[in-house]
Parts: sequence; C-alpha cells; structure tokens
Amino acid sequence: MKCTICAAAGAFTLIAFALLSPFGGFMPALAQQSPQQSQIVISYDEPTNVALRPIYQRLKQRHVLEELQAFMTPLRLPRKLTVRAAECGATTTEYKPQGPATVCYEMVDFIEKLVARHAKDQDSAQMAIAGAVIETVLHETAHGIFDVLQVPIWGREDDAADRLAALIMTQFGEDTTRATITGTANLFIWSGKTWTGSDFSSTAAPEYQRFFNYACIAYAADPLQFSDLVDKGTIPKDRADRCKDEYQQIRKAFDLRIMPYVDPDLLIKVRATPWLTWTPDK
Amino acid sequence: MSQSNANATRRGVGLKSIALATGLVLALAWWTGSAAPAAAQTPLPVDFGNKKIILYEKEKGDGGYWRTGLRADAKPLSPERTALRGRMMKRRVLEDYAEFLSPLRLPSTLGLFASDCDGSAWASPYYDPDYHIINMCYSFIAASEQNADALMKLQAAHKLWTPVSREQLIAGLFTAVLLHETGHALFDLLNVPVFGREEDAADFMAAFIALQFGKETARTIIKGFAYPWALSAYPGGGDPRTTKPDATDPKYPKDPEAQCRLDPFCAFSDEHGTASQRMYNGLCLAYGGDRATFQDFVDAGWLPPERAKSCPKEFQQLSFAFQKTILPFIDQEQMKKIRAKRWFLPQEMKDK
Repeated sequence: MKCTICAAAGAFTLIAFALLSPFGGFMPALAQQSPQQSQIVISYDEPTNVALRPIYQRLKQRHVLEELQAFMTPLRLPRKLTVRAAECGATTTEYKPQGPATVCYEMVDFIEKLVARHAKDQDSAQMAIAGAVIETVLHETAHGIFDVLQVPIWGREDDAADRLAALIMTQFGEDTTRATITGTANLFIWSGKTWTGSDFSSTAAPEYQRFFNYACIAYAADPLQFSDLVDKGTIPKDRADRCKDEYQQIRKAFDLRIMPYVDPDLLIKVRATPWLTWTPDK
Repeated sequence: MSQSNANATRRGVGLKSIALATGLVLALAWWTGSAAPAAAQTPLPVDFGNKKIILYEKEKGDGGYWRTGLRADAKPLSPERTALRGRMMKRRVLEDYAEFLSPLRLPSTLGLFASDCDGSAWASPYYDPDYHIINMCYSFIAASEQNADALMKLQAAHKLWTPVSREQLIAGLFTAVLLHETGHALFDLLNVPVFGREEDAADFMAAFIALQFGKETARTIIKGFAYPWALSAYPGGGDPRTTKPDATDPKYPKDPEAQCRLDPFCAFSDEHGTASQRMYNGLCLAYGGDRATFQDFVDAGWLPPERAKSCPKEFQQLSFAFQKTILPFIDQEQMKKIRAKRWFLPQEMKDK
C-alpha cells in the first residue's frame, strides 16, 4: 500500500485534472437538446477558499452538473430542484426541505486526495474519482428527490439515499455499474475511519456499512460481474444470500414511489446514451 | 446478550435456511395444506373482529401455544419450557397480541403461534414472509429474563441508567422485539416501500408504535429496547471491534460467520445496525416523538445533544411514513378501543 501512495501522489494532479469528468468526457446530445426539460436547476457557486477554486473550475469545465441534469430529464418532478456545487466548510451539508441539494467542493477534494493515496494505477484512480463523485452527486440528489416527491422514508434517510443511488447506478448497463460501484466501494474502503462509542450516534452511516449496502445491491443486480465479492468472501455468505431481497425491496420502493414520475420515452433515450465513455476496457 | 439479541431480530429468512437444511419444509407442510385437521384455525375467544388474524394450533386445543418445536420429529417440551409455556398462556401473550393487531385491515391472513422453535436456547420471535406467520419462541422469554437479570445487576452496581425494574425490562424487551417483528410483517403484508435498511425500519416501527399508548407504556417499551443494546454497545460486543483479532489464538473460531463478527470490516456487513446505532436510533425517535417523557435520557447523557437536535425531525419523518403507508390500513374505530386498553400490568410499568 505504501508504494502505491508514493507512485500515485506524483501522478495525482495530472489524474485529477485530466479525468475528473464523472459522466463522461463529452456532453451527451441529450444534454444539449433538452436541459430546459429537466426540473433540475444547477449552479456552481464560487468558493471563497482559494484552495477549492481548481475543483470549482474543473467541475464547471467538465459540465458535471449539466450531465446530471441531462441524466435526470426522464424524472418529471412536480417542482424545480436545485442541485448546486458549493463550498460547505465540511465535506457534506445537511439537505433542508425545499433544497438545494449540495455537492461540496470539500467532498470532491477529500475524494481526490483519498484516491491519490490509495489508487494502484491511473485506471483505477480514474474510476475511483469518477465513481465516488457520481456517488456524491446521486446521494445528494436523492435527498432532494425524496423531498420534492414527498417520499415516505422507512429507516434512516442517509441509507435510503445510498440505496436509491445504488439502484440508479445499476440500471444503465454493466460498464456504468462497474465504474460507479467500484469507485464508490473504494471510497468507503479507503476512508479508514474507525467508528466507536458515541460516533455511532451520528445520523450518517459508517463507511464500511455503506460499502456493504452498495456492494450488496450491485451483487444482486449483476451477480456475474460482482461474483468476486462473494467468492473471495468480501461480502460474507450470510449477507450475500439476502442481497437479492434487498435489491428487490429497493426496486419495489422505487417502482411504487418514483417510477410514476418517470417519463418512459425519455428513460429509453437516457438508457441509450453512453454515459461513461472513458471506462477502461477490461 | 449480543448473540441472543442478534437472533432476536433476525427475520424469517433465517428460518428458511434452517428449513432447507433440515427438511423442515416437509414438517411445515401440514399447516399450509388442508389435509391435516390439526391445522384448523382457532376462532379467537374474544371479540377481535378480525378474521385475518388467527392463532395457529398444532394440536387441537393448544390455543396456538404449541407443545413442541417446529420440526416433525421435535422433542416434547422440557420441563423448563413447559413452565415458560404455562406463563405465556397465563399472561395471554398470543391473545393480547392478536387483539393488539386487530385494527389492521390485512390483505392476507397472519398466523400467530408460540413454539419451541428450533429447540435452541437462543431462538427468538420472527416473522416468516413465506408463510405469513409470527412465531414467538419460548426460549426468548427465558433469554429476556436472563438479560433483565444481567441489566439489573449492572444497574445496582453502577447506577448507569434511569431507574428500571426487572418486570419492566422483561415486558419491554419482549414487546420491543415483537413490535420489531410486527414491522417486518407489515412491510411484507402491506407491500410497503422501504427505502432505508429494513432492519432499521423495523426498529423504527417498534419505536413509533411504542409511543402511541401513553407515557408509561412508551417508557417500558423504549427502555426494554434501549437498555439491552446499551449493555452490548462496546467494540467486540454488539459493536464491531476496532482492531483485527488474533487469528493464531486457539480460541479463534473456525466458523466463517463467527470470524466475520470478530473482523472490524466484515462485522459491518450485518443488515442490522450496530448495538450503539440501534440504541441511539431508538432513544432518538422516542425523544423526538415525546420530548417531555424522554428528557431524562438526554439529561443523563444517553443521547448526545448533537443527535438530540435532529430527533424531532427524524420522528416527524417516521410519522409521515407511517401515515402514508400504514395508517390507511388501520380501522380507526377499533384503534380507539385498542388505544384505550392497558396492555401492561402495573408492575410492568413501574420504574422501580
């Protein structure tokens, strides 16, 4: 692990700059055609902290939120939801009713630094950053969707947002699933935070718990691609046996409460759009 | 404790794997088919007004309190279990529970019974989604009593908590587990969209229901829920260890499941929250739903102020979910009667 750190740290700036484009290195035709159709309103707020400026600029140049907007066109929200990138003073900021949903520059910074310390090579660094940033964007957007659609939430809302994000990640082809889930999984495995005592009073879930929530849904959605997770015992058999149930449950919840707001024709268009064109061939 | 509690809340899927492994499926066939006369549904002795909730008898006249475990070749009850069965019958646990559920308009029949389950010492109540049954295991009463004794000893020695009595702990713990299983049953039978983790959601259901029957009932159930989790809320107990175990230790288990529980990463794969998380969630929802009644838990430092701040909002979200997904299935007239009834005995609601 230590050698990886040395190697990756040098390449970090380059990787981060060249590859931080979670939804692809281009603007899909869909985004150019119909951003006005989306009920997602986006903004990039300029940070006051100069250290975060490069992140702000990168996200903006790479149209990260525009691509989220395009990706979300099938979702016909009854009112506008603002998703913004902003300086928060922390890696996350709590979603408040009426929004906006916020992707913090600090979180992107945290992800980039974490990946630089751990990624073995450029490909995995690329996948890790993109996957983790997409996780962040989808997780924050999920809170907004719950609010706008007045979705009843059984269980903890942060877990619900993770489960919705995981479901979305696994519905757009195996390449998208692999890239987003792998990045997300690495983010949580590498986080290295030890939880003990009153840490557990947080409304946020421990990273390892989040890892298993994502991994379980991914395994159930695509058992062939993620069979390693179970064969190597990363997901213990006990949990793996019940992942199908977990996956069916979040699908059912989605079908009951969110699907009625999805335009089926636009969904087909989004599914037909290649979203992660940089995904390395493996 | 952590062992029994982990099992206390594991739902019917666990049973399914046991069933496959032992041929229990065959043993169960009698109560799904019409061939066996013993499977006849017992009309409830009092006016529950709900045909969808029944007590399953194994032998005619057992009232749903089986004299055996689940398997066809299960041994007759031991004298200890026979005594537990007698106490449950006397306390009318099944009848009370059936009556308690009677306001529900269920689309399919829910069967209730008590049995020796798999015969082990740690079997605990569970809902089985395949058969739509809730089975209360006799052993869980014994386990609840042991837990209560352990807690009372700690309480006496350390005065860690708000005063509590043994009877209150037993009644509260048993009820909390039953309400948790009720949550699983309702999510399944009513086709409820569950966006969060179902095991948390079932705890949330228990906490929400606990708060609908007045201050004393609420305190009994919430204490019965939170105290046992507090007892096991330490690394390597009900919370994951923070360091890797010594795999060369002769005591290091060979069973992969046991190894997983000892591993600081793998332990987080449990679908249940950690002991600490479950304790904090339960207290938070209770405090969020009724600040006056549970203020002493916050004052005593059980619930950190930072979490306490968000609890009213968390309870509101739970209440909204209940209103949206469960309330439409509740008969309000019947509910009034159920809410007016005292469910616990006076000694079960006493703090000391």
